[in-house]
Amino acid sequence: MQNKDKKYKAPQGTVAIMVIFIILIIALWGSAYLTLLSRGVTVVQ
Amino acid sequence: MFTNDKLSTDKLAAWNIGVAMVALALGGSMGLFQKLEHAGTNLYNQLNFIGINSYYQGLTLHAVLNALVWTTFFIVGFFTFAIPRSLGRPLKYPQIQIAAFGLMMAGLIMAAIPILMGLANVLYTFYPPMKASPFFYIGLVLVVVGSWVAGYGYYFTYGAWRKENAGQRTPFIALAAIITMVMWQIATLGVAIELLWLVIPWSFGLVAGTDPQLARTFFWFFGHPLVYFWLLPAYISWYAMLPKQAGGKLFSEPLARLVFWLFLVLSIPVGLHHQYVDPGISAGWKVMHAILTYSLFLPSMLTAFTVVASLENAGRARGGTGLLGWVRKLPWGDPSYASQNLAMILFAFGGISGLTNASYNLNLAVHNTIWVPGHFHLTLGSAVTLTFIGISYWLVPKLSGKQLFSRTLGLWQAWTWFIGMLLMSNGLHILGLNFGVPRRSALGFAPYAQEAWNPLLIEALIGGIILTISGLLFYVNIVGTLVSKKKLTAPIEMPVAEALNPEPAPAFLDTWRPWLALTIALIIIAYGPILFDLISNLNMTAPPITIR
Repeated sequence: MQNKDKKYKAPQGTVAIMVIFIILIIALWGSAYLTLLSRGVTVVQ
Repeated sequence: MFTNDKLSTDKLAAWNIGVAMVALALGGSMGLFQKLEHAGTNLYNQLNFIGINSYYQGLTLHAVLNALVWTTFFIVGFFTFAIPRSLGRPLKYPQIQIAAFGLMMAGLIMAAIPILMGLANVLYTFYPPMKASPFFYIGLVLVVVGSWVAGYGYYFTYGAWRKENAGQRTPFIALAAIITMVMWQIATLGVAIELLWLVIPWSFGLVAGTDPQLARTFFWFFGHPLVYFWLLPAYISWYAMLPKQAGGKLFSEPLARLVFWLFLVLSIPVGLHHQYVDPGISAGWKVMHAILTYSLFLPSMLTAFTVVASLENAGRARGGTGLLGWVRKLPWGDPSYASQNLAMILFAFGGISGLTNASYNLNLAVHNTIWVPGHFHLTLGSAVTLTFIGISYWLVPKLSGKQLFSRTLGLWQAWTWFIGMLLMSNGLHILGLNFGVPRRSALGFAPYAQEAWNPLLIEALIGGIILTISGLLFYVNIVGTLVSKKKLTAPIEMPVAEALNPEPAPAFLDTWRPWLALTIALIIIAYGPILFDLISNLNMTAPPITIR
């Protein structure tokens, strides 16, 4: 069991990179979304 | 495999890859002229000697050669090389691959002549009612049919392997390549129907008008999975070859297989996200395609995780420690590795802008703006092209039997591509998002152009110049390799990463029927009603428009 755990050690660096990637997605997508909102809305009468 | 079989397979692969590289050289060189034109310097009159007279003609050549010819020929060549090696048996019928190459070449020549004569300035999406010479369309059909024929050759080879190896799991590279070809063959039915029914008879003048809305819908049935036809061969290298090149193992083979099946199922029923602003399709269907498009986020993130975890495995095997210390231990001095890892980094940003394009409401902020080419130069122009370049750094020496001319030049090429693409795509993205600058436009002539665009257009131009230099470095290296007298001192074998867990993947990840049934069912649900509606209300009234 101990050997198996050692062989399949969790890829912690990968998890860290994925977290950074998800933060980047939220930041860049969110920035584009704010640009959209900043243009205001078209009101259909 | 017997040596003779390998030689014949390798020759076929080399011919396909050779044509691909010539196409990339010609198509890529047009890119600089576009960036110069956008910045106010129109040099197309310097290209009259090869028949190029205008921005739109140059742009058509750039897009058709890079997006359709470079990719399709390279992928067919790469698969022709990799599938027999992965299966450990020769091609069942090599003559099918020869016929496929002949058809694709005939199609390429037939399409290229009208482009060079200025009779097909319709860009690579050839949206009707813009009309080209019928021979342009027939040429494209032949290229697609040729790629189908290549696929049939792989299926016969796979069938023969299956008979000889009943009950065994298909080797990952072969399975992933064949899934890619099956997805391509289903997807290209859309463009085949568009061309054979709505475009070619109309371009011959046999019918007076066509239906642009239906034609666009058939095009995007094919157009988005086309992106995955480009990407999946790069993924094959990232999953199954790059970890080996880096000295590691594939983190999870079952996850890798699952990802390819998911791309088969989900790549096609998503095309309407390219048609969010099309008036003839109701919002409900667009929302459905938006949701399905977002479902592609799952296999994409699984890919990011599995590939990075495989590289972490390699970096730690090379002595890397700490949370991220293993990154520095990866073989950055190998141009094949560096190119592909840099391609992945650029692709991360391309994925983010792709999520923006796919968002139903947010798409309105960037639709048909120059943001879109900014996006696909990070996907097709980086993830795919820079990865194929990275593969070439071991494959061309393998096929030619010569040592790579210069590893240093290869590294310079990879990094200049990375920097050039960062600059160019950043400029294009901001121009599109912040200023709404239109794509596919001769901006140098545009009366609506604004002073505020200039710094970003110049940034994109600088990126384009660096990319051109990078392209030149690549071709110096490839031609230098081919003419070099330095033979390989040790044979090069196709890198194949072992799985970290050697147990066979679950049987459902090597079974075609449920995945194919799911693929077809989802296509029928997502496209059936909308195509029925558009065909029931067929409106063949749009007269042709010719672009000079």
